[in-house]
Amino acid sequence: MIEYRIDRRTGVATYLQIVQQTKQALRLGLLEPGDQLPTAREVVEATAVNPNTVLKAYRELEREGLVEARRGLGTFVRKSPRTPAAATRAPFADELTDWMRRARAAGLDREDVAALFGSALEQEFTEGEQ
Amino acid sequence: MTTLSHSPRHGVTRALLRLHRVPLLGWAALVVAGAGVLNAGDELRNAQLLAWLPCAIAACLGAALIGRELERGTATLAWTQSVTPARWLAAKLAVPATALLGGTAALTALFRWSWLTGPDNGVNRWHSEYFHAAGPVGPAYVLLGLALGALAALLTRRTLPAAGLALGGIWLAYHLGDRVRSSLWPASEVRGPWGPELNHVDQLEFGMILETGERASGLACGAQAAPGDLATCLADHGAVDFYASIHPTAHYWPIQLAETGLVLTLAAATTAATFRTLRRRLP
Amino acid sequence: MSRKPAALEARDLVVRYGRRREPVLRDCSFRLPEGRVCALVGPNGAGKSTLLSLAAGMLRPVAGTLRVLGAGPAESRPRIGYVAQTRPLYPQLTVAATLRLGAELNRGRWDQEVAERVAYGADPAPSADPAPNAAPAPNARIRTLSGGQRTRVALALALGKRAELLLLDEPMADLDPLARHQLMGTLLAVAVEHGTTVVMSSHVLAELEGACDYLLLLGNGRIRLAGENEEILAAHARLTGTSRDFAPHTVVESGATGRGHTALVRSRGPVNAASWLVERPSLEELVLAHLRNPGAPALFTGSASPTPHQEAAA
Repeated sequence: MIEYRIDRRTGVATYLQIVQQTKQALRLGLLEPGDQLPTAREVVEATAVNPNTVLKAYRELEREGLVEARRGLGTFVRKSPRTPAAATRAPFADELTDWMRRARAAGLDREDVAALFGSALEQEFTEGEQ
Repeated sequence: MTTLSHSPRHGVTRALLRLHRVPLLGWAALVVAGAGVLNAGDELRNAQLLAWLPCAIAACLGAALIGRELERGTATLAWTQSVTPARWLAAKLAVPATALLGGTAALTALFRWSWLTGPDNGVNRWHSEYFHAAGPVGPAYVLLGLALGALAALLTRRTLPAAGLALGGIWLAYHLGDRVRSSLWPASEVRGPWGPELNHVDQLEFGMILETGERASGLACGAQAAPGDLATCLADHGAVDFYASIHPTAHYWPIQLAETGLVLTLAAATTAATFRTLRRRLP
Repeated sequence: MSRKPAALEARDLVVRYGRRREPVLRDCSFRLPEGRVCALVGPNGAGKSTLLSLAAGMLRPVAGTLRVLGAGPAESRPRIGYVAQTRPLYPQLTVAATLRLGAELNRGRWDQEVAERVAYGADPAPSADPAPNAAPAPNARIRTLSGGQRTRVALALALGKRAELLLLDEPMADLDPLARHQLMGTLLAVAVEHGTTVVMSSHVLAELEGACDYLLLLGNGRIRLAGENEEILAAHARLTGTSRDFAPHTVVESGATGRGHTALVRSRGPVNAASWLVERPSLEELVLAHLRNPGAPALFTGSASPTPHQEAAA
């Protein structure tokens, strides 16, 4: 069964950490359709996070169609998240590498690039859309 | 793992018996030791011990049992369980009251038996300390002491000042009791000179009846020149007879019971005040 | 409008220790819906312990009313679990005897399994290395326990009672991080299983933030913030811009930054992201800003505002 690690200092909302870690486990094949997620009680006991936070994360996963709550049984994985095919991702990775090379050539240091990237990321992907 | 077989009504009592095991065992040991002392030892000293010690212990115990809980804050612990604070206080008073009453009653009976079978033959029955040590009045004062201790503790919230107040209170009650005792039952009057049978009565007042019929209190013939000539002595004072206002032995039990009732009423009033103090303190 | 029943509903509470003293609570009003895990936060002396003591039925207010689980505090006493800050326990008893006391004084409610789990830790095997914060042994006398161990036993009594409302005064104060994490986990697991409402006080929000979804901020005897963490967060923003005028928003705290001005505001209507840099403050920032600025108006979210008088009249 998946174990969640909650880091309070990241600034990422706790429920999002649970959502992200579940999705990552699905991507990595640690969870497969039909597998059961830990009950809210189990998560709460292990992580000491608020029960409503866990329930909110599970609702979010349910809303995205990744899991389903079976009454009286628990929450189960329905399918793996839709991951863009490698073919779709490759050109973006190339473009980004190219962009970074040019930025470096222009004299920007690592922190400048990180700030630019972060700010663009913030602008394009607002919370909840990740 | 838990056994919940015993009746819920006795949950608090059982809990308190375990909680106060040490003072309860201490009291039991004291009663046994006291019984040993009563069998030997000086009778007057025994009477004094029995008249004072259980009362003083009860006053301190009442102050300590409640006061310590308030000082340590464990009262808060007890009051936030599923029993009401009033139920807790009732058990908290009933457990020591039963133990004190049982122990004192046993010692009183023992003292009474050894005193009445001894050389005194009951002559001292009206003496204050014998009166306490040999009748139901004694245990009644013990209950009053406990109630005073508990009330003082709830009012002061501290053990030592409460014990001081309760001891003062029981001392006062004792002396008030000594004062009012003879008025608890109508006195009888006897005529004639002093006779040995008057050894057994409680003499309240004595004197002479004058020729006019008036009673002159305090007149006696103890200081006359020729002892024994009571007629001359009477004539010298212009009196016709001696009189004395007394409680005969027959008044002993009515007075014991009347004073017991009075003290128990006081103890009940004190207990009621204790419960009221608790109710006023908590919502 | 029907709302979830309230676990606590306070109206104009006033508490004063001694006639001449300043009141500890003044006109304190709020509402806490059932099923919440609530952080009661405020500086030392703000009235947190007093409020919990009132809710536990251990104290009488000078004025005002407090409803606990829909009844008076005295009537609700059997249904609440209270852990006072001083952790009162009988020093002469052993840990096991203390739990037995809990069982005897809470007939019909007592959960021995939960009480033992809290008192002795998840692992029932006695630890070979008795660290001061390790769970106590059943036969250890209370008087020999460390502060953290006393807290465990006090919490065990409150949780074993299967209370519907837990009132915990500084529950994590003397626990090490490991025990804190484990006990908070157990506490929340019990709460989620039974739908228990929990109120935990602390003067350090960080201690409770992850575990709680509701906030009551007490400052100087009054409620400053009350409501769901998320709603309180959503109601505020940090604005930075060139103008000193932050209208129409309510300013909680403002100051100069470089050539511009920054303010923590309670937003009224949409925030214009064109004229200001808009940031989301953390709960910790909000709490500090409200404590630094006693003049800022209090905020009650919908579920935290007391019911209007005529409805609640008993």
